[in-house]
Amino acid sequence: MTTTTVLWAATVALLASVPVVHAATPDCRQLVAGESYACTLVTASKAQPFKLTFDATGRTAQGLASDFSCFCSSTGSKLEALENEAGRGITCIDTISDTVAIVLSARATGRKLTQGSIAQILSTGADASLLDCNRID
Amino acid sequence: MNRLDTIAKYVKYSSLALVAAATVATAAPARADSCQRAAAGRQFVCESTSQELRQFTVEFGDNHRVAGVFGGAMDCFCSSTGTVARPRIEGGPGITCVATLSADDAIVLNARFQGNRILQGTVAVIRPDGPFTDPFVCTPVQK
Repeated sequence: MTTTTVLWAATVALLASVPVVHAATPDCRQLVAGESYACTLVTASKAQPFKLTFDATGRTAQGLASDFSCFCSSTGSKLEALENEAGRGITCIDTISDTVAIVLSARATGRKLTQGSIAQILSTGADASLLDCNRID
Repeated sequence: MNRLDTIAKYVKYSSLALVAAATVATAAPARADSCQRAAAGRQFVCESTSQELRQFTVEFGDNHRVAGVFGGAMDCFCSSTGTVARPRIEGGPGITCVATLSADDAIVLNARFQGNRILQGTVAVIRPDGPFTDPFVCTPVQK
């Protein structure tokens, strides 16, 4: 048995003995629960600031004179590994009528809501704007 | 009303919406980036662990604005990137599709395009007592 083989075997044995630790990744609700954000809605021609406030569970939010109902993205790239609403993506909707709604979608990080869009859903389709939010401490 | 009832109601009333939305899709020019390019004209088979959903198809129109799902039409938009100063509106890989049914009910899909698949998907039936959700993943249908 060569030195290389011995070292390789020792390395494999060492790695096998290390316990696998799965760090709990917070879902979107845990990240936004009870938080308020200073948000900006950006269209091609204007920027409109507004405040977005989540309840203590992260299941509802208020802003833009709307009461939003929210849910998280899911995780897992295979059917057998899917975890419902375990992701950081957050989508919130306020249904106003059978043809009108306001919908926002973003990714929750520690202090921001990033990659956000907010859209008016009308009978003519979706009209989307950029959504940028920073947590208010 | 359970989730299947909500989806059935959606299918019943969505035929006219499908025609109207298809007209809008034709009128709106597609941008060649982000989820808009990934979605345009493509069809996906989606699978869920939900016993009620199991498998369904998502078929996008000539651009990403309209998706045929559960036999009806949904209005869609992409995630955005950039900053307030330099926005890239709908420049991201995330996609959200919505079908409003009433002032209380809606169906919402949210997911991300990754490679040629749709991942991180959640389908939500929105009701007054909150959203009822299921996870899903999608693979493209080869034409």
